[in-house]
Amino acid sequence: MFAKLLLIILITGATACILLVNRQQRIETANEIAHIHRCLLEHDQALWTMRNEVAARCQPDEVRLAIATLAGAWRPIPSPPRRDARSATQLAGGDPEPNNKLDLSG
Amino acid sequence: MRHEDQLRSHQSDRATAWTKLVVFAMIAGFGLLLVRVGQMKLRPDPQLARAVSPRLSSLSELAKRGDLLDARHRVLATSTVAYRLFVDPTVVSDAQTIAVDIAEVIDADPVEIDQKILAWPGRRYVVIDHELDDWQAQAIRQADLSGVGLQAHLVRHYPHGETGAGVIGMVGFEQTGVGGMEHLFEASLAPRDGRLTYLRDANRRALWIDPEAHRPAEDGRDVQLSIDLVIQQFIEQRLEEAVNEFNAGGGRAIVLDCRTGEIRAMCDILNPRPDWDEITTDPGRDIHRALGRNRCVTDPYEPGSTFKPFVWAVATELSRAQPEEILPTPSAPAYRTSQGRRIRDSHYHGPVSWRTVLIKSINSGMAIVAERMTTNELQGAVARFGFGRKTGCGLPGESPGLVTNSANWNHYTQTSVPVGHEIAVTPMQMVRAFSVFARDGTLPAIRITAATTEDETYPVRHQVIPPQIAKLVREVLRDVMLHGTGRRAQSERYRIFAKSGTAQLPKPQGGGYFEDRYVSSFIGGAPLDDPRIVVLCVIDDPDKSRGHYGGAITGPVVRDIIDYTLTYLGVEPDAGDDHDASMAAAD
Repeated sequence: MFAKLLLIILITGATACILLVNRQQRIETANEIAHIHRCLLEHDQALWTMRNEVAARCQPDEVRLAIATLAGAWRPIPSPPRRDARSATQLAGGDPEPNNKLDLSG
Repeated sequence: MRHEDQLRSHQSDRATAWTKLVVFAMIAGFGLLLVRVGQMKLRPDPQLARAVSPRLSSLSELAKRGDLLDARHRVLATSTVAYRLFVDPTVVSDAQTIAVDIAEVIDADPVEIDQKILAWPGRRYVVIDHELDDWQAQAIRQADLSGVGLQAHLVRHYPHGETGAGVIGMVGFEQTGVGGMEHLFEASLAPRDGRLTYLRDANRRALWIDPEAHRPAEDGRDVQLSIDLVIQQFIEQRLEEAVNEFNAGGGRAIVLDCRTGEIRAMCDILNPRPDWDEITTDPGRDIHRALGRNRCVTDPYEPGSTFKPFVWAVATELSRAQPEEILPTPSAPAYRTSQGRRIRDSHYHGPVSWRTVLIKSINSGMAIVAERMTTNELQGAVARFGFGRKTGCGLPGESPGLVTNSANWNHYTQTSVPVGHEIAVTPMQMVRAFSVFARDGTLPAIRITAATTEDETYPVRHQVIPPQIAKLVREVLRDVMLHGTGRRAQSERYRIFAKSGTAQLPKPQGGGYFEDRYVSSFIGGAPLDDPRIVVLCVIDDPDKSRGHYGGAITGPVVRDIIDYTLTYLGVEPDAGDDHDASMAAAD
């Protein structure tokens, strides 16, 4: 009987310990999540700052100056080809001279 | 044997008794524990209640306001986090030395800090610095001074300074837009701060975060404008030069991508000149440039001769005059209309063709053909190009312009409107209407944001004039540059088609016009065969002693803007022999 009682007490104690460990781990996990969340926010905010600094340092004049100091001929990048605008008449098929060819002049 | 049995039985009874006692004691102990727990739960001691009450803390998560981007994704406006330094004087460890402690950490003046704290006796939130540098915020965190805190908040930055300030606008103290695009796109740009409620321990460490108690921060959406920063910088610089050169009251310029209807650049300058104040003022602009109204959409002006192409196009379409038809324009002052009204011209050429009327900007020729049109036809022409109603670009305070209504439309109106008088239009309406000639006769929808899909880029608009008339007007306007009032604005690179205008400045209180004060304007597009842009420049009240004709003052500005913009866009020059021939003719 005493052995049984001891066993019950030990099992109860062990269960309590496991629950305590589990609780502690849960708390630590919550703490870790909070910490990571904060790190993420801080990194986000650092990115915002860097984005602003990059924008401030990439003034068109400065870019042009940098290009001028580099060798070689530089040309603007032409806009991508686009279809010409169509009027309602053209869309309705009523235009005698539909003009929907690709524009490659840009 | 019997004795042993008795002993064993006695021992067993004792063990059973002890077991019962231990079990009873445990049950009693647990029972007492339960009673105590129940008591603490139901009627706790006040001190205990304070200690065991849920320790919940709330945190606000900053969300970022959306960025404003230009057509090529350059950042025009963005937000970063800054830290505000505050003090709670009631909980600082030593109120006498706190100012010195803070000053040592952030390298500031202790007297100034002390004055700030003493200025608000009893207050628990005293701001010492609204925007600390990063190193200062870091130093404050490390110093861990009691009663001293940091508060994160957003700060708006405009990385390109005042470029485009009038268009971009700005945000107020609460980080909400108070002008320009910042205000217009407030709903998209505005962020929603997050909130986090968590259980904490005595050391304020997070013990548990309930997922339902966390509302994540939602950043505002970025808005991409159709404005191109490089073009914007150039037109601001060029327009300012012109305004200063002619000591003008102000100037306005717009660059429109005539294919898509996107505004590439827009600029409005007011020159604080003494006698200009009586014409117009802008109190908002006096506070900050970004708070001024955008006169490109809010303030109509009389377009003068730049309005002639619209009437010319419709009259030609209606066959009220043929391009080569010779009209009885006078050789000497002055032409009188059928109602006896005198129409003056700056030069008298004698009978000329309908085409030449537009090239040489002859008022009498326009009046002759306007009298052949019915009132409805002329009113229809004005309405067709979108005058008298808002463009729908969405910019705040847009004016529909001033167009005489049918009831008041008389003979004077019939002969005034074709030469750009008795009508007022906004620069935005003008570039939109003029782009009809640069397209296939269709009126574009004006966009201030970049189109993200092809459907957005090419919304279907109604046909204003037939494509062949649009092309014809372009050719005649090209002759304006070669043989007319635009000769001084010739480009060596591109074949520009354009029209100049010089209108008298109306008196602010009504009662006619100033005799010697003008509004000079010039509107043009290029390249001739496949137009990409339309540019308008308006110079308000230039100093007459330095010049006042649109072709001479605003023409070169438009030319420079077209040259710069098309080169920047990578459009191949198309002037070549055309320019050489026109120069030879001019010689």
